[in-house]
Amino acid sequence: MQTGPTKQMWKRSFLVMLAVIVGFTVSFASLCNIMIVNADKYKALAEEQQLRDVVVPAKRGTIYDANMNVLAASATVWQTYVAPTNFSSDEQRETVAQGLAALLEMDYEKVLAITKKNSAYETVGNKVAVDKANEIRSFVSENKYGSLIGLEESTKRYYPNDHLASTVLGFVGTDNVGLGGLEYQYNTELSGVPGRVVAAKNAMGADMPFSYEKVVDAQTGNSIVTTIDEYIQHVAEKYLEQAVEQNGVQQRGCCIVMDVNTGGILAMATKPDYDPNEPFVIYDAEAAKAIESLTGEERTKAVTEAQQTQWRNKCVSDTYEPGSVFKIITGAAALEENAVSEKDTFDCPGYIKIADTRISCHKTSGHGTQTLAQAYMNSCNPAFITIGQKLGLKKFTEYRRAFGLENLTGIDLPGESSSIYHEYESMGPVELASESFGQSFSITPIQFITAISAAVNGGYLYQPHVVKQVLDSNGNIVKNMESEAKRQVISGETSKQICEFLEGVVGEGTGKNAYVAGYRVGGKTGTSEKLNSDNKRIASFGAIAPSDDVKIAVLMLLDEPSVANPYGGTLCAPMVGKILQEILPYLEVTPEYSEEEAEELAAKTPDVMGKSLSDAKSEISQAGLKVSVVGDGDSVVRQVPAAAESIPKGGTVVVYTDVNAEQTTTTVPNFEGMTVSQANAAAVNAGLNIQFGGSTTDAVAYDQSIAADTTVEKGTVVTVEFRENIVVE
Amino acid sequence: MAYSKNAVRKLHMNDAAVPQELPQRRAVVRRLPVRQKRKKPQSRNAALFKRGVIAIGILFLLCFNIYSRVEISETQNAIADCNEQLEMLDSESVRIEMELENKVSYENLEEQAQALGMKKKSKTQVKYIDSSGEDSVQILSD
Repeated sequence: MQTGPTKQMWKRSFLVMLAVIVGFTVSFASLCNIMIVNADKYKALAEEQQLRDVVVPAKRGTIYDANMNVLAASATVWQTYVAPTNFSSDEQRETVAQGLAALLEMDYEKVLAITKKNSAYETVGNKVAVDKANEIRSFVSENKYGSLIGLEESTKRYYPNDHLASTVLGFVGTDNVGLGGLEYQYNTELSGVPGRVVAAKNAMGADMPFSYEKVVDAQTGNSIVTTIDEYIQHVAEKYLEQAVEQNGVQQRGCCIVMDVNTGGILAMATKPDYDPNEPFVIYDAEAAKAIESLTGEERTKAVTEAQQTQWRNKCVSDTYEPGSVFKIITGAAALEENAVSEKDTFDCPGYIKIADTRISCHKTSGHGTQTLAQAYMNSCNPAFITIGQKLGLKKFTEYRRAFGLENLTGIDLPGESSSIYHEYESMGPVELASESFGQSFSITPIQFITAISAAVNGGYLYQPHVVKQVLDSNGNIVKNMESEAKRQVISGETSKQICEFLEGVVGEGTGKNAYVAGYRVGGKTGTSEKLNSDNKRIASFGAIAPSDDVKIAVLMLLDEPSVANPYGGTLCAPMVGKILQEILPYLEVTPEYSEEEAEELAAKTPDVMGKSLSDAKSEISQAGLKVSVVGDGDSVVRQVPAAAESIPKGGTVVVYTDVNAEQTTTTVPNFEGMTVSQANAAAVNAGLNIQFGGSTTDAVAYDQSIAADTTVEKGTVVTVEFRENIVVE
Repeated sequence: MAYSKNAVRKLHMNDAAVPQELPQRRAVVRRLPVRQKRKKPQSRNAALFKRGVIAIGILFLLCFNIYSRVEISETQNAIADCNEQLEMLDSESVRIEMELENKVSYENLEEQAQALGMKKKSKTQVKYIDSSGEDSVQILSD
């Protein structure tokens, strides 16, 4: 009897052993493959399966003005979406579309069309705030539409002042990335760092907070503090917009207000512009109307073009021919190089001949013999051509470079354009002559106002900038952008002389329309012919104030105004004057009135309310005013104009002595186009008091505080704005 | 060989000659049975009590652990809810502030003021006082 294992048994054992060994080997090899060879791949797959990884978007930083007023800020909002593929019937689609259309204030048909799309995810309407989001949530839970409608968290950028400084601020796209202006330039600073939530999830996909959860908080972006002053920006935009609208400007207008002692931009405006809250809407009514009639590719192209135009910051991205305002630079360079002096005289017969080329003055009869100061006042082309020739080509181009007109300024805004000019080698006496009075080359407004600032601030060329500080989310200063003088271009003495000349231009010259009572304002007018265009003009005006201790420079330009006299002195100077009139008191520049101005100021209505008629008459006549009595009473019950109101000498105060006396009314005449004496006569005839605004020497009325044909009480004060019709090339 | 080696008994010389020492008699030690202490009925109860206490303690710890985890979970959820609410309120505050800013923007203020018939102060209504001099005392009358 055999007691040991049989052969058969050995055979079977061997096979089992072999199977076990092979099994283990395969498993081991597989483990090696998973754990060593392809470890990273399987690790990632496991993490993907077991972990929920959600990106938490970072809150975008805030943009402040110089006084910490918010210009742009972000807040959480909700985006509604639907899952069209989850709808089971058309009836369900209709009910959902009705509900959402009512909640999101949308067109029902539009929402219905979205629910019919062959997609698992479609956004509906604009982003909504928390109150609206809660209404949508209630609608979803009441009707059990959880699988059909959803809300996802998102952020929205708010620009509380709508159009204000839009071309400077720029805007953000749907992905919260800056697409223009400061939003683009400082996108890295403003964006912050997105956070992450990594959590374990069970087989059903639900979170398992105790198993594993790692939260990396999102870092809010840094905030930026700009040099823009909201009030100055508002004033600059208000008057620029008026100028653009009143003068039918075809290629937009722009205005910059700069702090000459730091290079900080206090205001920068382009009109027409856009609302950064809705940047894709076309705001130019004419362009929008033209687009309406287009279809297909043509329409897309037109929309893109219109959008690009309205987003463009003309102050930085467009070049223009500076015209006569450039005479500030020519004169400064010549004075600095002693090529001319204050005492030199220049003859203007109405033209000048340079290398057989005859160049005319805007006053064809000629300005005759004039000093340098007079040449500035008259904005005489032959005089400045002579000054340019005296300076010489080499020095002229050296100063052009030194004033920063050949290079980008490096302002912290995107899309800065380079200037276009003749190189020294390609310039001859004719080119020098035309460049001496600001023609045949083009520069950006930001380059030019930086150069003007250098000419009047003691000669220092500053780096223009819009941002002065970067703050972290707790308000701590991360970075300070110091004002940096690049170089001194001219001496303080030359700079002072230039300021005096510019003050003369506003006092007695072509810039009279920018006169502001009580303030020493300087300026230079400019009307340039556009290069390669059919007699198209650019009207501009550069101003400084106060001219004895310059704090600010203002540059306004209107590209292609469609009026009969498109001159800088007529169109831009009055508006710049109004800007200065509002911002100089705001900047705490104390006015100093001349005797004449002080006398005018003293003329104000006395307070005669409640006084006896005889006392009232006596007080009014003592103030140098006339009196008109309405009613049979003994004491004054009402007076027009009211007490302390500004009234011209010899004006009339209407006093009412009877409560029941009927108001004496009159119709406001249309003063437009009238001279000062004509307007005065019209006002007296109508029983109105007239207050004269702007320049009144050889001037005509162009604006009035109360619209023509309005019925007002007799004695009401109407302010009529006058401007001189200055013809300057 | 006709015999087997194994069958031959090898004789030792001293097997018979050397007197064999008598095997010593091993002393018989009788181990008295240890008198076992009688367990008292009280000590058995105490052990049971001890075990019971330990069991209850463990159960308590288990329950406490579960309870504390539930509490932590609830607190965490509450904190998360509060944080979410705070974020939402912060965001809402920003939105409302922006709306307010919009309503009181210079442009709107100016429009509203004009609609209400208000005017900007004229130059005649502004009086500038020069306060640059040093402080002094002036006796107007005795």
